[in-house]
Amino acid sequence: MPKAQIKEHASPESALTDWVNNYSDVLYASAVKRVSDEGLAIDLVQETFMAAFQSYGRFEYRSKPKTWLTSILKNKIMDHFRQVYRRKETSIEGDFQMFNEDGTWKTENIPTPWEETHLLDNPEFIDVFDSCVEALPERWASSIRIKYLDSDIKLDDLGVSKANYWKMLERARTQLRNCLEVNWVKPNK
Amino acid sequence: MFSISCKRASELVHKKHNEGLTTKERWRLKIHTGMCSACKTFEKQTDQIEKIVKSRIQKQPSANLEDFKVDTLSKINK
Repeated sequence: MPKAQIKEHASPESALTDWVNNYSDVLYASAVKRVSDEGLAIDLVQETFMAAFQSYGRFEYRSKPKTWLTSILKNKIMDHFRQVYRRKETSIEGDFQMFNEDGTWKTENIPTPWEETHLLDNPEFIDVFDSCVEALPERWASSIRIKYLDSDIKLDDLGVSKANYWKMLERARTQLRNCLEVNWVKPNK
Repeated sequence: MFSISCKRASELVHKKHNEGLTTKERWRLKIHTGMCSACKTFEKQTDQIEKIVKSRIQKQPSANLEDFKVDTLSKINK
């Protein structure tokens, strides 16, 4: 019996048919873990297959198709994050001043305790929370995703400095907190 | 020496969740929030948000990819 070999295909179409059927799930899982957005993950995986289809002639079966596809996908994901960070910030949302000149809280911004403590167990709260995350400008949302999802994406690769990245996280948190105050805390008081 | 403004305290709360605090900063924040209930609330809420973000983002959405496969293959085979 010959050793199991990577199957070479008669045509790009037959190769891609095989690959789409066999690797969609694993590529999707990998993409969604990194971008945390189902629609975007689907698009990136599809772009990956299209790119593989177009450059099939250059694939020489020296590596496993899955490895090759994974590396294309990884580039697509990096491109996505790079684009997000290159985009100029169009608004200064979330950059409003919470504090007076002397560093004290502005009266309207003084934090007051939220009454409910087990927020994660409350499905209505989760809906509000998710919509607040969705409402974040994409680059801030990405900064959160990178923090929690992605140990293999390096800030350097994205051309983002640590200081800027931390600023984005700070803004994302501030905006989220304000969104929750307006859409959850106040209506429920 | 020990006293920091609320603005500075809020910056330290964010720093705690970014690169982390030095021992000195940790104490300054602790002393401030010990005296300032607004900042104590702010810290607690920020911690809570951070925790919720983490748990929400790490959930793995599942998807049915059958339609996706059909769609992708139709693009390739057209």
